[in-house]
Amino acid sequence: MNECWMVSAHSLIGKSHLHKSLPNQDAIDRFIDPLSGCVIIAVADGHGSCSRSQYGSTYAIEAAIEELKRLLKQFLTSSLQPKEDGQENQYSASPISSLRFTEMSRHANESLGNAIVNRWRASVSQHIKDNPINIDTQSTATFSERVSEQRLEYGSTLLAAIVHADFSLFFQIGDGVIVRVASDLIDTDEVALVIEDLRAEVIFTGDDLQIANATHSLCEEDVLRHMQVRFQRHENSVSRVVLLTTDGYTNSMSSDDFLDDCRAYAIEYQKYTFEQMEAVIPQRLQVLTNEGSGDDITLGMVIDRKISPKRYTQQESDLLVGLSIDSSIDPRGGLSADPTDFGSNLSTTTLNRELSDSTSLDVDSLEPKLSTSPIAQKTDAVFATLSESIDSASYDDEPSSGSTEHIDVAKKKVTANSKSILKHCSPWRGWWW
Amino acid sequence: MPDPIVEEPSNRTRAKVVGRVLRFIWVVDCSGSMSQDQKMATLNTLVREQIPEIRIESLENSVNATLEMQVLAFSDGARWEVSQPTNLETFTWKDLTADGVTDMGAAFHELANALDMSKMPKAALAPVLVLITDGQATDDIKPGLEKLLAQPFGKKSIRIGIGIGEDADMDQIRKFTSNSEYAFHCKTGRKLAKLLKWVSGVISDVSNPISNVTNGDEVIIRVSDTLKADDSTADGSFIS
Repeated sequence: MNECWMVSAHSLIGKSHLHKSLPNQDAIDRFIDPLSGCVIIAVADGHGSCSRSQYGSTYAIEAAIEELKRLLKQFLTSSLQPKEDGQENQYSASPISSLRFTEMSRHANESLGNAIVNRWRASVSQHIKDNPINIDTQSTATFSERVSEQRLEYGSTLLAAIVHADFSLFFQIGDGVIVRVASDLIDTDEVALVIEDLRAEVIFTGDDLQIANATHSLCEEDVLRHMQVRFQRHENSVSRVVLLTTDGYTNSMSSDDFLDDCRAYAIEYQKYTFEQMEAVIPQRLQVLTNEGSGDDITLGMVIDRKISPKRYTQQESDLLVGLSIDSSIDPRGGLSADPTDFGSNLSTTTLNRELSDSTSLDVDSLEPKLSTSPIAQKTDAVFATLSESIDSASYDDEPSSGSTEHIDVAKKKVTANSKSILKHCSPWRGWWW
Repeated sequence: MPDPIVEEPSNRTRAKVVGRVLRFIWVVDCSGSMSQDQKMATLNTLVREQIPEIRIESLENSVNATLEMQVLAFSDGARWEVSQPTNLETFTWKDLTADGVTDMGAAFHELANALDMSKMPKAALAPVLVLITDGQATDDIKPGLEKLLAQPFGKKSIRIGIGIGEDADMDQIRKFTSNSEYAFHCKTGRKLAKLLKWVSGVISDVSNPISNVTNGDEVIIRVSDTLKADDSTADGSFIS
């Protein structure tokens, strides 16, 4: 039951990616644990230099969310007791013991990273198996060397967090920033924060290798050496806003300005409703990519519901969990933020994967929601436009000799993004491509 | 009664939005031999003419990056001709003069200092360094070069080397470049002009934010066969 938090999650394609006909290679997703009320949130940034990094980033956030769910189940929710009246889903948490904290911390530091990386590698390996990368048949590399090499094409960073009133767990590989904005613990339900009450703490600092667009990555063989994990118990402070962001955001402003920005979010969520903020955040990210870094920009925030000026009922809890992914022409697609669609049970990430991975996609066989989703409608519209332009180009360029040169010319007239869409659509539509 | 005016949050962040910075440093041999055969005169003319072209190219293709230029000259020691990173919008080329020996090692020391982490913007892109020389260093380049490559931004920099004229030591230049493909032997002004045009394209490639793995391959910038080809003239002179 989500009684404590509001969750904002937005991802926008970068201006330079549009310029180069690259898709949005960032990914974001979140999960509200119904028993403990914890929020799990994960953000990933696929590398522009890697040809399949949009899949790498998607697998990264899925791996993180699954392993963090397992951790919660193993160490936290197993200790929950049903209320005496036995109502379903009405659990009250027993206080988390010091021993439990110690166990969670130990597991996080010793096992979590390995589990996430292994799960990511398994997803990538499966994708490679289903969609082989062209390999040099003359290569003398061993099988495992070839797998490692192909995995490079899926390179991605990963930032993830569990947010709970009494503790937080943070995990990071590569660049991007996690910030916890907190204030002192006060024994009152009335919260009236001023900016001076708030401390913005950057959870992990990067190393000197992560400069000039270079970053550590899940695809590195020695990734576990560069992984950072932190388990924090909150005894004297309260998390007001926890932010996870890819470097497209932080590269658009100075370091000091960024931390001030983080603190300002806490003040704004105290002044404006969640819905008001959800309406402007995509616009802010658009300004940042247009005037700042030019990169894809992804911002996830977990906000203390107590600071909101509006009192939300239990029934409105699902409305306080948002997600929007830029739906520019992108083989992964993305649901536009639909104000009436909060709390959808259909994971956007899963939806994107279904559409982009399937080589024999039959829309009608998927859930009814998918067949009428903006994704399918947009893809249909894009396909119709592209097929017309290709037909037109072929007709115009058809040489009298009857050769197939005109088809090559037509293909070249289609943008990289368009080609990518067609590649995913073509078996489905029986296109001759 | 009209609805009360509801204040809405701003559609911009409070923070000042800035683009990323690309530092470009000309590292020019100003030894006495550069005054021979019109080499320095040709270089001055071609670079001055290329600056507006670089400006146009970066406007069209450099998404949001701010290009800042510096000029480091070396002959007897090394000296900054333009030490303050200067926005390309206002940068003008001041003709260099040639006199003295070829203290290239001293220049590498100065470059290392300029690329120190404390002097670079946090979100700076990989710096582009263009070394232009017609001969061989008269001091030991190894300590300065090691110091330069020990700097994180030095190691990440795109280092291009242009050897002008028949006597340029290409082996030494290749020790400086970040990729052997970026070492060019240029025996005519015509080829120098082409190389400077190619450099404009390098700036565009470097200024677009495509991330890569820390220990992975550096971003490779294509070099055409024309640029790799020998351009000797019949009489061996360096002419425009």
